[in-house]
Amino acid sequence: MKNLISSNSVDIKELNLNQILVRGLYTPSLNKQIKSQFKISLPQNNLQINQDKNIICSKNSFDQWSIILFQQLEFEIDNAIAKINEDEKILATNYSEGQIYLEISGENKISILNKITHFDFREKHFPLSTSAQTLIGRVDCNIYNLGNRLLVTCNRSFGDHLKDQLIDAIKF
Amino acid sequence: MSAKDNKDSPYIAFHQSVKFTFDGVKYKGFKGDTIASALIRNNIKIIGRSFKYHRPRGIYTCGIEEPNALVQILSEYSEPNTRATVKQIYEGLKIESQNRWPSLENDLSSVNNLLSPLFSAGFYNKTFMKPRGFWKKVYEPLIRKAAGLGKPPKPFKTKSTQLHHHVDIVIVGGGLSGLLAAKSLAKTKLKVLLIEQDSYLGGILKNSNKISTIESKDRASWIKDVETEIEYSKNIKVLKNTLATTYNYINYLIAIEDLTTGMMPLEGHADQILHKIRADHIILANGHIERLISFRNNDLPGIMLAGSFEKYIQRYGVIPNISPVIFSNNSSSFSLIKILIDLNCKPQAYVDSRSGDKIESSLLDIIHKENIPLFTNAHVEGCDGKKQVEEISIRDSEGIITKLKSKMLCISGGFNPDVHLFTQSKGVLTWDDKYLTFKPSKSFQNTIVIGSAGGLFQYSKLANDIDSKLSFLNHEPIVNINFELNESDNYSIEKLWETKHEKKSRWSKSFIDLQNDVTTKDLRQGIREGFDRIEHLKRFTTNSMGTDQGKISSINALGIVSEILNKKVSEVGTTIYRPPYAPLSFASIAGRSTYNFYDPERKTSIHEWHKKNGAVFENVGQWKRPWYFQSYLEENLDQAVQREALQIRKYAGVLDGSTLGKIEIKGSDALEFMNLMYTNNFSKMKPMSARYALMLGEDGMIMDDGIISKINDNHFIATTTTGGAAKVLSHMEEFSQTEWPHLNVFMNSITEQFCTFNISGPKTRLIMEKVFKHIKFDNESFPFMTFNNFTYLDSTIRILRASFTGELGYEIYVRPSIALKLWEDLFRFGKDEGLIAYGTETMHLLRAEKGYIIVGQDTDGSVTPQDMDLEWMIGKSKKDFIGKRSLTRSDTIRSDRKQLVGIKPINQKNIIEEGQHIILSSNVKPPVKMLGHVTSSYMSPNLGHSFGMAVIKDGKNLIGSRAYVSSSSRDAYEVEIMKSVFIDDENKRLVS
Repeated sequence: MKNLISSNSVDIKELNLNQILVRGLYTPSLNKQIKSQFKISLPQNNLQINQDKNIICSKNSFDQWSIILFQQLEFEIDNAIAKINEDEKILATNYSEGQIYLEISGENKISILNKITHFDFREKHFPLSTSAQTLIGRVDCNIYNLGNRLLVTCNRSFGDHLKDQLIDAIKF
Repeated sequence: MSAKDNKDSPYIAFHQSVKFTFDGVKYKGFKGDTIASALIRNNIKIIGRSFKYHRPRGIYTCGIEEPNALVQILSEYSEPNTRATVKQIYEGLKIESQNRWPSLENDLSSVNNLLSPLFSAGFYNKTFMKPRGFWKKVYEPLIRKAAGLGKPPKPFKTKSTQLHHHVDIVIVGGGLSGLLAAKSLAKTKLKVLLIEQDSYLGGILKNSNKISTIESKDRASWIKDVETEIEYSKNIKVLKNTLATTYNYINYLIAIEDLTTGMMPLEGHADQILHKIRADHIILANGHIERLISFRNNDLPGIMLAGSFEKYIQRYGVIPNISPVIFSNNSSSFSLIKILIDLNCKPQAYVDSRSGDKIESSLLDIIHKENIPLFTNAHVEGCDGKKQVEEISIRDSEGIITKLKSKMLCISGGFNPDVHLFTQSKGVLTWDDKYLTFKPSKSFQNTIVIGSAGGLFQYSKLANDIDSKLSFLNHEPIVNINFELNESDNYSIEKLWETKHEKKSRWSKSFIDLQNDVTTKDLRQGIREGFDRIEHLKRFTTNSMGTDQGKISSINALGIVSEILNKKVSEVGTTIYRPPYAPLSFASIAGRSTYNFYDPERKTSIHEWHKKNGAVFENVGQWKRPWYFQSYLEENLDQAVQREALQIRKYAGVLDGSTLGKIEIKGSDALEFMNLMYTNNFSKMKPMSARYALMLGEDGMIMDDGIISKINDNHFIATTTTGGAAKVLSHMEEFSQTEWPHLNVFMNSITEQFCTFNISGPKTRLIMEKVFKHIKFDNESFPFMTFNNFTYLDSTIRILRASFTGELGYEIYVRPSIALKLWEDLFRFGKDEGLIAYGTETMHLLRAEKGYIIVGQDTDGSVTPQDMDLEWMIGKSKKDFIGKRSLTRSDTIRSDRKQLVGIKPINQKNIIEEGQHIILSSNVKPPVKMLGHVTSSYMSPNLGHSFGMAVIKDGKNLIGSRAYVSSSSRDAYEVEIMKSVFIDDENKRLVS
């Protein structure tokens, strides 16, 4: 974890997390496999998040889930993926290092983000324990509403650009 | 008579003087003054010169509607066309007048006024037609030089920022109606944004004396109480100094906030915010605009709208003139006369076009009581003066002209609801016969118009108006609101668009559009010439086309046109008020999206290494890729590429190929899917082997290429071109979801999960064996086009034996967290073997020497695999694949299609230029028959001469013959047409 900036009542931290992207049709067997590996159920509603303190599992689309893990080690992730991939009808891909993970908290987090994204953060459009895909600083991002903090992820190659934009939005 | 301070105004800090300069002369104003109020305070009358005739112009209004007083702000990157009536002064502000030379007082271009009979409507269209050749070299440069008012600003980096909002309600206008609406919504749960263009709320309560008390409180106390109530509410946010400029679909409002009102912009701080607001409902409470009356020389400095004159007194604490003449056709002047008298000033005369019996008794009473000369049923015929109003001619009902010596004339031609935003929202207007104006009738979006913006000019009906329109929001009703007025609550007006004037001289003019110098005569002429539709007439005369969009005059123009055409104004219709309501700077639109934020940049995980090691980058899509590496500071592209290319063929080089697209494909039907997506047949391919593959569009044309690695029949990894990564993935998704939903197959992009290093050259195996001591790289253990997973630093990496240079090569796929370590290890062990890093340009050269194509460079969406000599990649035994049917169309099987060949110059000193035509002879006189064009060309240090790849009609059959290549700088030169493989035709190096 790295503190990126704490200013103007906004704190941004860069986290080292692991992520697995799961593709497949929802079946009890798929859910069972995921549950056996990560002790969490796959959400069935689009953009819904199931979470506990170690894991976030969100449904991105009808056949895609993203599982973000806060504490797992690399080999544990690889083993879990290998186990899931034993089922030939499922694709589990390690996304851990292909993304950056920013935790954004603080009283002004929304007003700062709204400098660089058109996204509507109001409760009625973006309730607690949901995720969304949108543009922040013109970069494709996923946002996870975790209550008093937001988790924002984007492709690693855009990471510097996104971080610079966020810092600029806070400072300027 | 000169101006005088009104120190009762609470909005000006009279204790805080502010120094500024106008045209190099120092002046003093007060904190809170606009440029206009400060110049009025200093008795400056002429502010600029008019657009076409360069007539002296003064301050006409007191707000955003100002057509004349536009100035250049030298202090702020020389920002032009700034409204003096809006921009507040600050210490050290430097202002310059516009559109004059050499000075404002003595402008040589004012000769245009003398030549004005020549510059009638349509002057440009009629005059500059002949001689034809003159347009480009003479007329256009001259017109361009003369065009515009201010000078372009100096280049600067924008300090504007932007902010998105999502709210339930936006109230545009913090005046009386807006405040009442906000107050009534203060206890709701609705999220409300109140936008006010001024620094203070209050609108007419702050700008005029029309209301004496409201809810038994004086105006300032009432405003303060409501503002406090709003502040304490948690649901209403107020944006002051913010102007709503654009009302888009769907309830999407753009507003610009000035963060530096009355202060010098600070370095490192935003100076304005462009607010982008989405709302469920928009309440327009943006009030009304006073309009002018056209008469002879109605543009002279010293003429001002009466409401603006009153606003200067109330809002800006300056009485522009202590004894003005007032000319009106309506009942609105009472409050102005009263405030002047209260301040121990007195109008010199009051002129009303209405007959005495139609004038309100309260108005007549005060005029008689104060012995103010009264002219009823009378008009101002015109004004005279050299550079400002000196004499006013008043014609009475019998046609007798009375001349008054005066330097100030206040005029009021009535009021228009400010309908610009409403019409931008596509709302429909209707003509109001009582108030002689267009007013909002039917909303197209969720728009609610209240108060005078909606055409309501009676205070007593305001509360009911707001209550009824907001009732669906469950607001708190406005009850028991009472007003004590300084004017009649029964606003009345008589039609008067233009007064009849004596023809004093050819240079006297009656203006309808002050900003564009359009006269009422121009309107008549336009109609005479057949432009009798209002939109046509607007374009012919340029009426209402300026940055002010005819805010104070467009309705007058419609009135005059209706009379000429003998139609009702409602039949004439309106022109379209175009966004923005007032000019927005490009800086505000750009916001922070300039320089490093202009476009998102993508960097590979070892970008910093490249920077430290002399990489010069090129943009490939959004990626920053090393183009070449400088071995010394002055080394240019050509030198670096020649050096790199030689080194790699002799020793080894490594390219950061992380930008290549990578897609993981898995499912029980993955094999069938891949066979359908690509031309190749993957059925007989062994697990853990790889193949160069082609992807076609449905038209049979090459769409992308890459290497397909087969883990097993259910699991593949595909690489794509850098630029094609997203396109290929969505292409796969589209076909998987829409055409072949029965196939069980899923795909994920793994482009970012792995860095890719492409190492190649004869010394490569040696280096790889040193870095990965536990892996065998000999041909038997690791044959060409095979891959495997290995462990490196406790992490899984994948190594594929493949090459894009034609040399022995490997592609290493490694996680970003250990990528730099591996890259450095390659150099640690490869340095003694001559390993260098190389960029994309050398990669292009080396692959062309080997005859490998680049999709997008050697292909252009119109070439088939056969055209590129890649027929061998088509799985002919396959039942189907995307594009298969198209490959057998008569057009795609023509033998004379353009086909890929190699070319080399006969005279080896000639350098082939990319994109040049291949022609049959050196005679390049048109028309020239063209055989094709050069798709790639390079100077090869390995071949010792320039060479190229080209697509040539019937190219395969022309191999061995000669043709010519055109040149941009010299005669066409001869080339030999040959096979496109220049190095290692037998692949000995590749499989060495």
